[in-house]
Amino acid sequence: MADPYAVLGIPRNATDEQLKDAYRALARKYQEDSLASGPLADVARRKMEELDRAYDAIVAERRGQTAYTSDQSSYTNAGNGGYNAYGGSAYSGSQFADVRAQINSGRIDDAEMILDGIPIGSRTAEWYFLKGQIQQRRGWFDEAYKNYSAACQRDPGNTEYAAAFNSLNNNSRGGYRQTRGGGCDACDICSSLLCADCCCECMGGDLIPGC
Amino acid sequence: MFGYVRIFKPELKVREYEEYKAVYCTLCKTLGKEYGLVSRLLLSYDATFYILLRDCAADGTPQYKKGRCPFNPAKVCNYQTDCPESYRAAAALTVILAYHKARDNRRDSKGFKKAAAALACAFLRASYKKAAKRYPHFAEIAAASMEKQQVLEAAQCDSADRAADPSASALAALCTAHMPEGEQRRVTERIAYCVGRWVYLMDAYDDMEKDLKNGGYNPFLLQYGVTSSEKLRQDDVQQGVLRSLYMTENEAATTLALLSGGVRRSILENILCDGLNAKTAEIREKYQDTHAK
Repeated sequence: MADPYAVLGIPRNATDEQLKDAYRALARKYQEDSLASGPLADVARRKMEELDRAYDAIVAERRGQTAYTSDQSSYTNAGNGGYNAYGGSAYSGSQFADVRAQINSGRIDDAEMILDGIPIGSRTAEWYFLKGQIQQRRGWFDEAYKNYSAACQRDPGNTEYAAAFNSLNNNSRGGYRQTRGGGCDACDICSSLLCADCCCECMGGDLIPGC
Repeated sequence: MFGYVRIFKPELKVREYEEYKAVYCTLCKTLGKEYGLVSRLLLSYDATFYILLRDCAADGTPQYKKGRCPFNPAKVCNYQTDCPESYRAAAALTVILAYHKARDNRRDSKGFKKAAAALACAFLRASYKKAAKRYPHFAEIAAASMEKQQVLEAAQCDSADRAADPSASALAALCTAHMPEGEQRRVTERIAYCVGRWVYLMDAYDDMEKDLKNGGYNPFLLQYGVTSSEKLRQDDVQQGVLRSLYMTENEAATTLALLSGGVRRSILENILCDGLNAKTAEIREKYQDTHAK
């Protein structure tokens, strides 16, 4: 097994708090919705398992138990519930069970051939959803977006279609890293000066004469 | 490739920036050594990205040596001394892609520009032959992608997804050509596909105005049925185009989480998470500014 500290990307003397933060940050990345519905879902899942094992091993070691031997992962992540939504065998009532199986095993060209064989008149919401899945796996996000939204329009109550559409839609905004410390522009400087001036005037002084 | 894939300097650590510069300089030196002094002018950020992605998971710390830059002798640069293979591949890639781009320009442009492109083409031919002989696989991938692209353009393909596919697939194939089967390869392939697709779409976005004027092929103009300069700046068109770009760059950034690596990985993270976005914002502002006038 790989060094659990390297898996988490933290030094050996990291505090428990740092350990938890590193775990959460990585778990969030591996459990990104768009990964779960992309072609690398299995890699993401394996990375997540590796992370869980590493976390378990470090926690066990810190509690004074034998290190690195806990192969059975006792730690189950709360966010893991919906993670296998696409991978399970939950589509017994599906019209396209075979297509779904093919998509999940990565044979997207075969799956698309079956879908394209269905006449336009009898294409259901599920058809559009699956077509969208194929295109998303291929990296054709525009067409995937169109097909997901068509699926949602036809069957607005379906949570599976809505989840796929939302995960793509969340990705369609700019800026992957949104948390950035705000800068300070000319307006900020002026308004800060004005505030400081007001404060000074309250106390009888003056920062900006004539203002 | 067109020099869109850049670092976002304000968010880069100094050691990451130094490392990036060293990779850039070493590539420049390799180009000069393999294809002559003039070929150094072809040096691009895209080929630098290729090296970073390719060597991301490589073990060990890169070794550097100080040297002087022949274009600016006052400057002292760091040159990487080990791992020359990826630099040689990147140099060949630079020459091959530059040659194809020149040929493409010769075909598409008129007048003075056509003459300039023809001259560049003739100039590059010897280097291209040399590169293609060393890396026949690269030349094949690039030529096949150019051919597919021409077919799509001739058919006036109105789907940006389909139009971007040849470039995206070509970059994915080029970046994974040397890699053994496995997870690392699949992850790299996905990232490279997204970056290739983003570069193509970005170029199309950047050129929308120009193509509208000259009647050049542009998938976005066809996809959104843009026929006038006013329509080009309408919100639904702009938002649609930006949505494609954002979805692509975010997918690349998300997928990077699955790639392991050291310092090079942090540079890649900077490029994919911040660099691409900054470039998109730059072009977006271009359209907004002219709108205000």
